Amino acid sequence: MKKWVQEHHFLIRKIHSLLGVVPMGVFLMEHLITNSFGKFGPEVYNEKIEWIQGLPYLLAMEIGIIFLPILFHALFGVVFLWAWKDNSLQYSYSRNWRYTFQRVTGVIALFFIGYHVWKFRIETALTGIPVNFDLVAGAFQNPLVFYFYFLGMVSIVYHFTNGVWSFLVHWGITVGPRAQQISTYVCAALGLGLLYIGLDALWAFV
Amino acid sequence: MKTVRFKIKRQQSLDTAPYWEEFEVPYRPGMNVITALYDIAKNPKTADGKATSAVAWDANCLEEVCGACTMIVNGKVRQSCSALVDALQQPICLEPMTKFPVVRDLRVNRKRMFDALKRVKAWIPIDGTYDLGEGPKLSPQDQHIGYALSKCMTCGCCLEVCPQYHDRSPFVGAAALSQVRLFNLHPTGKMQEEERLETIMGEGGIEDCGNAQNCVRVCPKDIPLTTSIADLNRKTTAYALKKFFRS
Ligand code: SF4
Repeated sequence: MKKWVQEHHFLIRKIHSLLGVVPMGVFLMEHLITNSFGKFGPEVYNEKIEWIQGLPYLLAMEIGIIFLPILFHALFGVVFLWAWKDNSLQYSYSRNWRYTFQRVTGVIALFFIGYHVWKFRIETALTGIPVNFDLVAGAFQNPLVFYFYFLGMVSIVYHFTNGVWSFLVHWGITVGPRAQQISTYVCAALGLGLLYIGLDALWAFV
Repeated sequence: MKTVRFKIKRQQSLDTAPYWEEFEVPYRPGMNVITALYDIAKNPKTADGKATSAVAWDANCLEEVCGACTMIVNGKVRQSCSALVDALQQPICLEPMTKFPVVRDLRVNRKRMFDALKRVKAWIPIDGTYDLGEGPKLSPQDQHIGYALSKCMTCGCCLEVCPQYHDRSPFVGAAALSQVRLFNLHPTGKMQEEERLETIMGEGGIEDCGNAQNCVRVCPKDIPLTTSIADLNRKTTAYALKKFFRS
């Protein structure tokens, strides 16, 4: 496995980085917006969920655009962790901390997404429990679940927006220090915006 | 008499355990870590008067251009010849670099860096069976970039601080990558451009960079290492696409 990964290193890393933005990042933004319908009350929210559940080719899209990319990104993300020997405490430059947080939030996101998909997609499909506003609101009655969602939201938004910054470097788009500095600001603004949208929607269910 | 106190991490060889010893040397105005190490070598006694072996270290140019005396001074990697005692907090703590095997005390073996330079072919081949004549001219813009990159002294500071560079990882590191940029920039070196790009697209190459960007913060020669890496990201991506669509 290790040898195979090293032989196809370039391709795997590039696909890993691309998938993080498209489709995963795009899906994340879509998902956060859909969540926000919760702000308009259970009826509107349930209507939107039903609309999504009624989409043609839903399962194929879920597998092709969501499950497989996440699986690939997560699997190789974990494999790449072997090269991580942290030194942020000794050399505490802000970029070094962001490098560290990228890895920590990635691992948190992995557990969070695993739980989230199991709870609201697989378990409900197996038991036939309908996915709707009440199901989410019911789950959030448990403060542990709610804070786990809070942590998951912060981690995923950070991982995505800092990932966009890295993507731009990794693909040779932002090359010089000035371009990378400006992209830091743009990505931070995107992150704060998404965080607001994400957390605001969380509170709509409590 | 005014003295300077040192705390030095010692190790007899790679496979013996490290230990700490403290030293006290007479103060002289303007002294640096290397001059203090000379004083210790002259009279190898610990601070409490016990006789000990002389501390081993490497040094050469004494003007921060050779990189040989690189070590960790008060927790930060740097050249010890330009580490002025007046500017350091005491006891001055000296440790060998952690990313290379220790030879003895503060002396390490940077072979991995030179192997990396060999791997990426950080030179311009001009040998042949006949006189190749003069090469093409280098534009002033490229000279400017190339000059900055050519100042690398293979000191290893950039690798010491890199969280992706250690014995578990085959990464060649920022210094060698930046040399790829230098030699691909040169009109004669360009003839091996694709070969060098292929090498850094393989194991331990550019994809092992994690963008922590510590390298550029500590490089004593102010080499724009992260710009070099991002530039090579662009070059390797373009090369990979070209190769794919033409295959
Ligand atoms: S790039 Fe800078 S820090 Fe790295 S080896 Fe060269 S001179 Fe030292």
